[in-house]
Amino acid sequence: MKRVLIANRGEIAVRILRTCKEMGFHTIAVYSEADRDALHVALSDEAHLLGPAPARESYLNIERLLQVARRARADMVHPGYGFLSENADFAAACRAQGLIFVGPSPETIRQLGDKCAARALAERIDVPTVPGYTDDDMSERRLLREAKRIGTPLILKAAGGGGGRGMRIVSDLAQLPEALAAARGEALAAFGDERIFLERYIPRARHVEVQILGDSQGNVIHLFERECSVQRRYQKIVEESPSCGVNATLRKALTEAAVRIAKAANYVGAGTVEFLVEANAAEPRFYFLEVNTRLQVEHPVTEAVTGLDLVRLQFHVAQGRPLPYAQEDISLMGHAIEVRLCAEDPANHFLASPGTVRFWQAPEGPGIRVDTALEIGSFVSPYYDPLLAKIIAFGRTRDEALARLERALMETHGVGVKTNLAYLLDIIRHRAFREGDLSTRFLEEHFAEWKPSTEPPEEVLLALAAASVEGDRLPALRGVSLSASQNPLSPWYTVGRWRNT
Amino acid sequence: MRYNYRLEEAAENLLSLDLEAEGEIYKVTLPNGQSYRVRLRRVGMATQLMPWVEIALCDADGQPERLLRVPVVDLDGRIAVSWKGRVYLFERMEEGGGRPETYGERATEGKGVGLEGKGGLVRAPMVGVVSEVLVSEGQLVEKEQPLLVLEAMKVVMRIGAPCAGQVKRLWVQAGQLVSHGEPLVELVEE
Repeated sequence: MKRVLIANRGEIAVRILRTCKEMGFHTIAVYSEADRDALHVALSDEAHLLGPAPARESYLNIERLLQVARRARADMVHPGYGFLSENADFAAACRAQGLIFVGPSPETIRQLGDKCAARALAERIDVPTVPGYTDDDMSERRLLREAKRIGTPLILKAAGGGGGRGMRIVSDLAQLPEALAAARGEALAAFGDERIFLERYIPRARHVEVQILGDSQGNVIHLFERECSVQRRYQKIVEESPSCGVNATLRKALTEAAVRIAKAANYVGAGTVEFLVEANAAEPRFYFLEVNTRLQVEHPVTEAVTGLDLVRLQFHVAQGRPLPYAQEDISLMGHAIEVRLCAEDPANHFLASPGTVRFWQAPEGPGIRVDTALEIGSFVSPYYDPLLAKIIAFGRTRDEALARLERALMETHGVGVKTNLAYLLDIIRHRAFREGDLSTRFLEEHFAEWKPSTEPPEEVLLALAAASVEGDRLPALRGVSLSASQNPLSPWYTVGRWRNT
Repeated sequence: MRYNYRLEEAAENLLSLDLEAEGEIYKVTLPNGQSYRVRLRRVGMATQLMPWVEIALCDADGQPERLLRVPVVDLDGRIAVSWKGRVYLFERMEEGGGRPETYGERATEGKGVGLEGKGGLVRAPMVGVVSEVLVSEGQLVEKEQPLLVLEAMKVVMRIGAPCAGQVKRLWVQAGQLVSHGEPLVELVEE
């Protein structure tokens, strides 16, 4: 029996575990001190403590992970997304220890992880890139000269990584030195690499990415595109497949470009090639952005429209087997939309909202998939990302998927931490979203001033009235503070799993 | 009865709910003037396992017309109502606008858990629901005799008498949610 170590936590660890079980693998979970009660631990065949809650001392601790892999006699390591999933050193260390790293080779990760090298690769095989500057001379003088050539607005990006860190949009060249200093500082802190490159900023563009899969025999197929234009500070919030801004001609060009890039990089495993597509153009041009050498958060929309299990295919090719499908076996079977439910307060600057989930009810029903590690009583830790659940709706058409998603979100209950549920509902109900009129500035243009409604519906007030009558017999509703549950010194806090079993 | 609340996002507006009991049915008048006849079917917020309110909206004959099942959770003294993708957070206000003086704050101020000196208060060692009260006021109890049962999810805790004595006063009743340190039973030591 193959033994798989899942070097991650939260919903993605749970999602990977499930496929491992279906494939007959023995599953090895790892966890930090903050995750003792987590669902991925409870679902695994065996679980090992990594260390204290901070990711640096647990999920990012390569030494410790390799030690656990040895002790647990793991054959394979799946890194999930985030954490060490795009860390070439980790992939290399796994290989050196005789472990199969479920992802591309360290060489591929290193080459594509360097945004400048990835751009150079795309240019070499004539895939269009945004006009910019990525040469080795990164002196301020040179960058200023190149910025004049490219013209404004332009965007500064970190060569070492993405996620919005080290990014700055400059509309006036006079601001460049200041923006450059800030971007360098951020990039150095985030990636240990202060190299910054320049690209022209395309203000109204769609973010469209192509899912690719490669095997060690050199075959590469694509699983169509995803549109992830609805972003806040470069963090995707709503993702769908296919994109309504991509017609058959553009789809052919995009997917061909993605496959060529993957082949040029000897890509083995699942990956994503990101593009910018000009929005609202009659014949939209597209530009290569970067390659993500991992399973994406939003992979379920692709699974929904193709009917494939991407994690299963990752394991398949990681073990050296050829892809079981040819390109012509893959077809688009409908439309899927995903939203990311997060523990954050959209009414209050999207402040993270850690705490105990006191009530949670996930939606169900036709065409709905929920990827989550949340349970009633789960403590949403301040140490990790605020993703609570991904809610994915599938339908034959976009309208059907949207109707299902709206229905599902109205059935979702998450109480105890602040969530962006109402914000997500308003996004998918927005006329521009319904019409598919999307760009990466969608939220800026339509949701900058968003506030939750302040008119509680009658049903809410009636429930409140009923609770008040009952509450006269309950001290809680007379105002006794239950804040003990949030106080780390209270038994309610330390009682751990007892809170919620 | 009149209950006043403030919605978190619109704290300047006082929402008043007027209730009139008509047998088992309540006539509820909402701030917009609309009235509904409501039968309470289930108010489970204190159990935490099924924290929803279930009410039936009735017609004049008391026949249920529409059943509403709405998750309602007590969140640190505020009431969270989850409905159609939105959580509304309400804070109860006294007539006149202030927060009510809280029983717990007053009673637990500066005091520990357990019995205080001769004849004192037995306090809740954890947050939970009083599932059973096993004694009555005036009753004589022996040391370690169970006084009541406290439950938090699946944790069941019997609270015993710290000394032999007489139950002077019961501060809680069955079904009541208590916070950490809240008085449960007052004992007079013998």
